[in-house]
Amino acid sequence: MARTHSKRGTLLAALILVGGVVSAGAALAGPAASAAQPKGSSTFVVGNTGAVDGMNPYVGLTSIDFEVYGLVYDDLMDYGQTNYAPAPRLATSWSVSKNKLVWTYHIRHGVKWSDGVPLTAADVAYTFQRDTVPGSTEEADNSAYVANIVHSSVKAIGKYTVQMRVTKPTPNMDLLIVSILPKHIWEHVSEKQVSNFPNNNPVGSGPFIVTSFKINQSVTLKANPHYWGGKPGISKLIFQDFTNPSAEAIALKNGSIDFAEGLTASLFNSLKGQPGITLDDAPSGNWDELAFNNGAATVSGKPIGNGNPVLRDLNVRRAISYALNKQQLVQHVFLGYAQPATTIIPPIYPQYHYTPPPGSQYNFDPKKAGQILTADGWKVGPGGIRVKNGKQLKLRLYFGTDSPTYTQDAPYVKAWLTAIGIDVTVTGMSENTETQDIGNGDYDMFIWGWGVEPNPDFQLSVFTCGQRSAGSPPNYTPGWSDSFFCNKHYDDLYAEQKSLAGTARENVVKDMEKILYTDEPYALLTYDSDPQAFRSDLFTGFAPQPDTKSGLMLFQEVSWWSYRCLRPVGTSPSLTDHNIGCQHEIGAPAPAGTGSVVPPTGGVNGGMIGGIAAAVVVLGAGGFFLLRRRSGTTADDRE
Amino acid sequence: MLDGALAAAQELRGEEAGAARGRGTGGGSGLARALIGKTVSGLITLFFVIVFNFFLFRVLPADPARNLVRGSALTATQMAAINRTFGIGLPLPHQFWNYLVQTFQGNLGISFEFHIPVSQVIGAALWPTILLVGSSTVLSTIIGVWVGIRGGWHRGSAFDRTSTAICNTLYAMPDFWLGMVLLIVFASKWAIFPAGGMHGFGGGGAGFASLGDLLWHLTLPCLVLTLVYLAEYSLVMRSSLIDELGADYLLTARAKGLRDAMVRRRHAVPNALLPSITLIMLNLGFVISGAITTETVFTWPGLGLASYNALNYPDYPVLEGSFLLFSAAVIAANLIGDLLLTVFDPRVRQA
Repeated sequence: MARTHSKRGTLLAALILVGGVVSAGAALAGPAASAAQPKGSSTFVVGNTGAVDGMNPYVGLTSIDFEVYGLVYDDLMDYGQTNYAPAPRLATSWSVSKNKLVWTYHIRHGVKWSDGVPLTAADVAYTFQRDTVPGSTEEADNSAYVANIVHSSVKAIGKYTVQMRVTKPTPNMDLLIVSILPKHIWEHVSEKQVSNFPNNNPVGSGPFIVTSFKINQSVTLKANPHYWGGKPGISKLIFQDFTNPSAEAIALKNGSIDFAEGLTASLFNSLKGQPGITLDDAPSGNWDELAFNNGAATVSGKPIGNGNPVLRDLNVRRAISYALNKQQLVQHVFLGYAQPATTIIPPIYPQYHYTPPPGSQYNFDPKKAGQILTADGWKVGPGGIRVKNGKQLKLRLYFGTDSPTYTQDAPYVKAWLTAIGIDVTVTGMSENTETQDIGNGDYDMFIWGWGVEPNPDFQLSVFTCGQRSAGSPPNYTPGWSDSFFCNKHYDDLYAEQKSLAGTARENVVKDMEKILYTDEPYALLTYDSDPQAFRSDLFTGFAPQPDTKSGLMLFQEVSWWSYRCLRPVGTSPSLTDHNIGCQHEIGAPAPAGTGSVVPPTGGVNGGMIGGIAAAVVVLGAGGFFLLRRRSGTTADDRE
Repeated sequence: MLDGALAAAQELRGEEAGAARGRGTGGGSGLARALIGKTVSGLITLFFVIVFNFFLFRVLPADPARNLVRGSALTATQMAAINRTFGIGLPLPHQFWNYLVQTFQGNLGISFEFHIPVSQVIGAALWPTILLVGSSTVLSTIIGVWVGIRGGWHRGSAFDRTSTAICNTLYAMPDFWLGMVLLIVFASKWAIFPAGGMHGFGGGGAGFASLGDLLWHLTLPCLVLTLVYLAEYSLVMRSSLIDELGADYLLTARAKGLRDAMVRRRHAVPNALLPSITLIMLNLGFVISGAITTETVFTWPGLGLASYNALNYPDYPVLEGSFLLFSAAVIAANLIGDLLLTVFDPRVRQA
């Protein structure tokens, strides 16, 4: 028995050795890490689950890219923190001529680029000239803002005034979210070079300066000490990639990061009650939908694809809408961090959001769904599947397997439709395959989602006739339309809202949403929240948008309010310019009771203890090997 | 059993005789021929991999560009411009020719995602992977071989039974699962190791401090890979040692009066090591392809994570480049393994 025990002991030592040899590093790392990582109280680390593509504002595509660009470069204006109304940034004021065609912008005085060169109207004019060359990468990237600007009309008048002309009245010229670039850097980068220009050390005028960018790892920024709005409250800002959201949640809990974005609902719940951590499930601009093939066709109206024609029947689409129990999705898939959805502009944009009157909403009512189908001629046939003119009601449902929520939504949708007599075949696929099938019109229904910006123009355009597929078989070039909805009246309203502003535009946009709700090319499922969690025991000064208490803290919709105001708990705001939102800050120091949170160095001390223990094991095991070796050698010598 | 051993012995004598005959007429040429033959077949394999690689990525669904920009406002002409930038629009034979020429020039293309040469993306991820998978391969080899020798020599002993059971259990664990368990225990519950990354956030300091920080981050992912792959080495070593146990030469060695440990070290183990060498070399080839799941769980910025991100994006040039590198590494390691075996196998060495 004793022998067995000792054998086990040896094996255990061998197994611990595995960990021991590598954790020899931990012994060194204990003190080393604390020296290496003076995560001084004013270094703010943001964990995120998306990757950063690069520092060139013309080519980045991910949401985290835009988060960085908005910190490095100034735009002419900002979307207001509380209402998305135009707020001055690099432009202090602007005006439009009587005929609504000539716009004049007054540029902020005394602004310097991060390399010390003064920023003037010449830089602004240069940027807009560059961004309006027809067909260029630059124009493509900024088309939402610069589409109507006449290239040759852009000019600097004196040091601080820029003027440009538009082809037709364009109200959103008062909200130009376009990164203003330094002429003295970018004039050396031709249009041909721009798509492969890494811009690794971007020179900007924004509140932060990039100090390092490591592919698939992190972006590190430092505060711009000469920022025109005052020095930011944090000295260092890091965006750290996580490919594993669970690890991100653990890192927040341990205090090695200060903010976590992109958490799943269940991870978000796992952080509830953790000392020092505040949770914020702010509504975002994102929603998910069940989309229908409303009769796929090219822009010229030629029918394409193999979509089931029954979906062109409004009664069938309406019946499906009444069969969807959206509240169940909210509770079971989103664990409460979403709302049942109605129209395509989400409620975080109240001025544009249209709420259908309660009487006409598609509330969950399977009985009504059945009645609509019966009245439409669909009688329940064998196996409970409805039949009309000898054809069974059978539909395909696609979803992208990249998304865990779509994967979870799909079986619910199938069950609800089966209950009203529709036979549904569910297929999961990659988003690439799905995009191709949709573009070719080879689908019946799919589950996907959109993120809506404060300016509703793009989202509205998705449902215009001109966004249907183009080209020729076998693979058509898809436009943005993935429902193939086409309605002349809707298109007219779309054109009309482009030249309107204020309440007039809001009313037209709401009319368009009403059309989409009535005609039902999509059945919207959920308005999604963006669960964000942060160390409120260490940092304060967030400027949430649009709700000043519980709006989005970071990763706001095309806005960057919080970064300029964030600061360690116990310090006072240092920004001087009150145009930039810090008066709306929230976040009080944590109550004394929760002060016992393990500070970042706590993990390091733990690491040191673990490391020393491991080192002892290594030394022990190493000694064991040496001993064995020596006895072997003497034996060899003897024989 | 005995008959087999005798036959083998006779065969061996025959080979020796043949080798002795060949020696007079330039014995090196046989080895050189084998060397050249194996190298050439390695190169041919590599070429087929290059060709296959191209078509593999062209049968994937057609429109990466649209997928990349879903959600941003672009017109059809602007989409076409993006396609042009990425070289997606060209006819297939044209693309293939460009690809061949560029590959042989060492140009792997430009990353869709990062807009820099693919070689730079891969280069940045190479060292972390070599460090992680290399260190775990070395550890699991040393420990696995040692466990295998001990278990095999005393077959059926308590050590043998326990170690085999433990190694098999570890081998059956998915590495991402074991990784998550270790994360929850050591990074969350006890918080003595970091939850991911290769350096502390905000830089790893300099010199000695930086090295310590690196090793601290390396511990958990390295532990996962070592534990999971331990069984490969211990079981191969154990079974090939057991194969040798009944061999005549061991009987002879014992008859000469050698101690048991001597018989094992001098005679049994060197012969039993040969299959392990093949296995080790094969695994070294896979070192470079990294451990996609382990790197993803620990956010370790190596080639595994780079290819995982490239697949998500989807960044076809980076995927193409990394697949090419992975295949080339396996082919090269196999070739070296083949050549090493000729060196280590005494039957060939005498030739």
